[in-house]
Amino acid sequence: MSAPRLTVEGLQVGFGDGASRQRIIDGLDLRIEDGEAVALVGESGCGKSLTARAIAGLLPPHAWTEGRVVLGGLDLNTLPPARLRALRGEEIGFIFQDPISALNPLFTVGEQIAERLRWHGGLGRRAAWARAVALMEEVGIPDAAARARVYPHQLSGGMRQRIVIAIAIACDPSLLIADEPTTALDVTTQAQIMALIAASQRARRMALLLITHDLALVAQAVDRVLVMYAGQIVEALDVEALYGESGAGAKHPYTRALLCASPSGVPGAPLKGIPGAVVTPARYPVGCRFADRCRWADDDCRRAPIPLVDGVRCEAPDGGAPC
Amino acid sequence: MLSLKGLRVRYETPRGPFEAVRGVDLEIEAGAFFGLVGESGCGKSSLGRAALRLEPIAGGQIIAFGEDITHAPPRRLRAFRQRAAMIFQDPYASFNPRRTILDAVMEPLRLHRPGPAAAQRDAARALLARVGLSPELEARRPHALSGGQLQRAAIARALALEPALIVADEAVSALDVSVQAEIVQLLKALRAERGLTYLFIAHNLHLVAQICDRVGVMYAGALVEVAAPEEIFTRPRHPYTRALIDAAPSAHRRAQPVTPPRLVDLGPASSGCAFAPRCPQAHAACLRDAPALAARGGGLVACYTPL
Ligand SMILES: Nc1ncnc2c1ncn2[C@@H]1O[C@H](COP(=O)(O)OP(=O)(O)OP(=O)(O)O)[C@@H](O)[C@H]1O
Ligand SMILES: Nc1ncnc2c1ncn2[C@@H]1O[C@H](COP(=O)(O)OP(=O)(O)O)[C@@H](O)[C@H]1O
Ligand code: SF4
Ligand code: SF4
Ligand SMILES: [Mg+2]
Ligand SMILES: [Mg+2]
Repeated sequence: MSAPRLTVEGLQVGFGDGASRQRIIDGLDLRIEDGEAVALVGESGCGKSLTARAIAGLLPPHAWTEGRVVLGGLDLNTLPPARLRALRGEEIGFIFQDPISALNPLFTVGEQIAERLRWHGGLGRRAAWARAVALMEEVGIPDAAARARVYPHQLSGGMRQRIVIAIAIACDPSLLIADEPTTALDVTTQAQIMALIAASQRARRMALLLITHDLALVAQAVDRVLVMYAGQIVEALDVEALYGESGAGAKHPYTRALLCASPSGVPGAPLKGIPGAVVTPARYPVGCRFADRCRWADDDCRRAPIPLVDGVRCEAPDGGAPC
Repeated sequence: MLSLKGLRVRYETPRGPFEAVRGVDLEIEAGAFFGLVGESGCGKSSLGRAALRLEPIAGGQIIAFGEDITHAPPRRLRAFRQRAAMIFQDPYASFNPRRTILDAVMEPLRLHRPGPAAAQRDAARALLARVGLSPELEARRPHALSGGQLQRAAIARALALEPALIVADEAVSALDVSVQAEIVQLLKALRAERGLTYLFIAHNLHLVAQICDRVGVMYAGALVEVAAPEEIFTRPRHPYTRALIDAAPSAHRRAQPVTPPRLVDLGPASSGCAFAPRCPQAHAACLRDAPALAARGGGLVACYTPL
């Protein structure tokens, strides 16, 4: 079997140093094969974006990071900075949550796609422009040749996000990272954008890391789901396991609680929230980080760190219908 | 409780007038949890704001609490607005960043219920407690609260004048599902306790079908279907409702990968059914006149050949 497209081992991300040093992502492992789509799911603040940015080399300057990130067999820690930047530009496509801030208001959208192709794809001016228009067609923008000449603010939110996708896939990356790509969009546009991301991922056989807080979005887009809580993976499961006997395959209380909080559309069915909030990094406890919100928590859960065993980080994993 | 008759909302734009709400008839009964869904830009917010006379009314009538308020003068409007409140999607934008949470909740009381400050403070504190915010949060400013906490504060503020009607515009859309579910529970409990009526605007059809007792589906400024959630969800009659349901992602069922649709440029508004350009079953008659809402099953649908 070939090496995985992406391997992350013992990833740590944090801020500050000395007494104010704070670890937010705490020894995270993940691997994605070529052509495989994986979702990273969890509530806001649990560390999804920091994980994505650490992989793509887009952390804010005051962040520190440790651990290994191996992309297509190359250990990124061992590469010189210039080589690293070039590699990331060519091999990783990144789709941001907010298409407005991801685009430059001063350049036409065609120029922004072409710029990427010239910089990282080595194309000449005219070839880059032609390719930019073709990419806009590929992401479903009608009348692409004319629309390539407009500025971001002249497009709808859904069209802007399509441009961001075109930029992300422009250099044929082998890994696409999408951080909450549809949160800023309405539901019909959301569905279209998810379908577009899933279709490009399959057509181009890219590895996909889809980041979302919404389990509803993973249904048609991914093969595997990693559930994240307070800087750790708490459960790893095949997407089928989520749906089987209405979520019977999910074993971690947090995954199960997320399922019960997701609307099913069944009139009158209970909709159960998860009381409380994600524990902040400054207060990560020794034991299970979900304990203060878990209805099954007992002393065993709080004593010591809980290891990830058979894809579940829980003392007493459960099964059966979750709600 | 609230009745809209042929309501129209028109905005003046640099490119000429634009009608965002195009003749909406709607009855919301006292105590209802009425859900309004539809895609971005279809006019949900314009309708919700117009119902509270917060937008210019270009035609039709608004009857609230048995009174025609379509052209009510400012004084009567002021009285009306004490009985109706609004909650928005982005709580950070609806709070003054420099005032404390307690201050913000006291504000409507200060304006409309003159009295001793101590009594107002007690009332505001009781409201904050009721929406589940601990007292240590009352002295904080909006940005020191999470989105969910601040939305609770927004609900407390909306309740201050003991309104009978609340228009909630995408009030839970920006929140994590875990928090969204909790806020929805709170809204439901408050309805039972205080006899509230809701116009709950959202784009998540699954959420609306699950929690509301009547659902309206809006397309291009008009209602295309109104029915009980069971009907909407299991037997949609309008082709657009069907499309919305099919597009709605769910955490509870595996969806097949779909072919991403190409966007199409819509032509100028025509005289026929507004949905015709996207309707899989459009026929010649659909292009001539727009279909009106008509009774069908237990609900209303605006289509010549309902499903
Ligand atoms: N103040 C305004 N001036 C001009 N046009 C407006 C104004 N407010 C809204 N519109 C237009 O009216 C239409 C309906 O807008 P509205 O905000 O009611 O939509 P919505 O259904 O609430 O959408 P969303 O789901 O995105 O909130 C849109 O085309 C919008 O651009
Ligand atoms: N630039 C930053 N400086 C300090 N703390 C940060 C920064 N960015 C994120 N954090 C903290 O890291 C944690 C995880 O954040 P993030 O990765 O953005 O979560 P998610 O994407 O899952 O919502 C949060 O506690 C957040 O407050
Ligand atoms: S380890 Fe204990 S507290 Fe943590 S999720 Fe499992 S049962 Fe709940
Ligand atoms: S009236 Fe015609 S075009 Fe409009 S929804 Fe019905 S079938 Fe489709
Ligand atoms: Mg994030
Ligand atoms: Mg709106």
